[in-house]
Amino acid sequence: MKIVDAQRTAQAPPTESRPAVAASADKWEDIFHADLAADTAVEKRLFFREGWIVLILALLVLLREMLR
Amino acid sequence: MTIAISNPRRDSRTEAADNAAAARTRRIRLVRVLWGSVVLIAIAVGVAFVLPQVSRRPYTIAICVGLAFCGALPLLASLIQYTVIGLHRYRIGYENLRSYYPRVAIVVPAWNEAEVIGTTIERLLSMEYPEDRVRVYVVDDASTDATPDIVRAWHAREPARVWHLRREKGGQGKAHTLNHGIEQVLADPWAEAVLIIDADVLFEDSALRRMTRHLSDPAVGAVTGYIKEGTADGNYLTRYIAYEYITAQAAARRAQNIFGSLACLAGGAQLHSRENLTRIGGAIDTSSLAEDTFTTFRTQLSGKIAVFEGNAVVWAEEPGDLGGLWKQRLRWARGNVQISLDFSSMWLRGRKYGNLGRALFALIWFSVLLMPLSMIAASVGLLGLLLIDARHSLAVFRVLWILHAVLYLFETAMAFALDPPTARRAWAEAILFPGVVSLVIIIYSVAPEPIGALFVKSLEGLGVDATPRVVFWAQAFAFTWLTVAMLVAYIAKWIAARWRARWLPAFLLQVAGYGAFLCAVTFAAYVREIQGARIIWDKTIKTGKVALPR
Repeated sequence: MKIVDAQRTAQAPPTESRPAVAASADKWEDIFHADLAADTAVEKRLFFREGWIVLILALLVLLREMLR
Repeated sequence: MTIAISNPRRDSRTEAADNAAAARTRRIRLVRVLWGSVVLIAIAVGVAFVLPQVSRRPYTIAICVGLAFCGALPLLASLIQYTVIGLHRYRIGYENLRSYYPRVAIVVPAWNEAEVIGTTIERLLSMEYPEDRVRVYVVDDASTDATPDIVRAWHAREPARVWHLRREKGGQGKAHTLNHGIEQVLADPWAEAVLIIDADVLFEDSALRRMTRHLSDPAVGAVTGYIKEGTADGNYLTRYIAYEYITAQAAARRAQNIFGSLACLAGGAQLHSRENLTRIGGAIDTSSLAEDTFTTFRTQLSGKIAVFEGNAVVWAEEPGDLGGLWKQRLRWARGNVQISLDFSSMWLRGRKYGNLGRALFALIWFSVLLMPLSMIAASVGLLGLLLIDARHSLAVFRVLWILHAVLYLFETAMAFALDPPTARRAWAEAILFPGVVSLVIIIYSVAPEPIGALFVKSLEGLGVDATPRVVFWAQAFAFTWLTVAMLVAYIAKWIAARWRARWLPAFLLQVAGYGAFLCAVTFAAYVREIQGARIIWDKTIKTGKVALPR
């Protein structure tokens, strides 16, 4: 295999980000907060769901012992 | 534009010699470990059956009970993980994150991926992420199909965002291919983070930014997402995999986040900060078949945190036939055996190696890797008990299977809580996950009287009397089922490779259970490693059936 790095260097795009990013910084900040709020809600829901599941399992075990 | 590159790091002969030496060392260690296990079990069995002739009975019972409860270790590990999942909200650290959109170089290894590569590139470019902060580098591993043409066409359309890195000589496997791409990416100061993916995966719009935000914490070195099975017209097997991924990723990796020790950054979605990738050597390990796990361990051992982000969803096509699944999982299992041996000095040395060296992580890791051995030990213990003390054997058997029952209910309910859409799609596979026979045993362990009566009635219906001899053999079958199931699963795979009748392997898999199939694969991995099988990247064939849900 030969190295043809020269091609890459010649055609590499500029490394700076475009001004568009700075202009839309607020938009991305908002998206970040929206994601965070949604994901926090998911994890919170999971906490309560697990609580319910453990409670129901415990009740089932109790019921089984009572029926013996 | 095509960039041809040579191997950047080591002379290939040196590398091959190093890898061969590593394989030899592993083989020696594995043979020692397995012989050690066999000798221990043999001593236990010998003591259990010889000692009563000259000594007292309680020793025998204690040894058999101990062996039987080896089967409870994987259950214990799962139970610990499932119990803490709800606490994930307190450990994921969302409150400490800040908005962070680094420049991400996405490295896509591709070998004959014409079916999928176009869709993958299109998806990557259309993610909701600052447009000029994403570049896609497709490392074309000397593909002989239309892959180069497709990537070149994309480069012509998006010259600043899609790059075609062509290897003129390929076939060395995924890790080598990735290293060619990573070498190029790190040579340029542009990338602040590197995302390593598979050629067939489809990222959801928000997946990348949900991963990058964790890199705003300098202590975090790498992040992985939740890989979901996404075959559009799937079958029972892809649904099994979909359900398995809820348990193995959405559940287990959340627990691992809590314990501070991640077992694996999924190879299909592995985001590294530039600093982390450089710290771990700027390249992926090529000496094992589990390059992603190797990188995960290296990241954490270098002092950085590896995070699983369960809300960053990535869709992948998984094998829809038993042969393909066996091949894929054998590669993974062999990789895990290799990793366990490569990092042999790390286990149970928490003081030196942090969370990865703690007993809890060893329990989680080896409960999976040594599951076939623990199933065999449990069968031997129960059978021994049955022969010397039938009453005790039944009690131990029931305790073991009641544990199975509790975990089964807990896991199934949690799967529906963690990922309701997938669990609903695979509800039948969720119920049948342990296999039909195991399900019957689980129900028997919870309600022995009615199921026992039903069993006797069924026998009478068949014209067989429930004599003590018949009951003994029925018990012997149930007690050894955990081992027999692996054999049945292997037969299913064997038939699938040779016979046209697809219903038979499917039927056998439902009888044995998906878990038994994975245990059979792991056992096969031990055998392949002892045989010193060559490390060949046996690629999983992808056909472009994966699709994002509407």
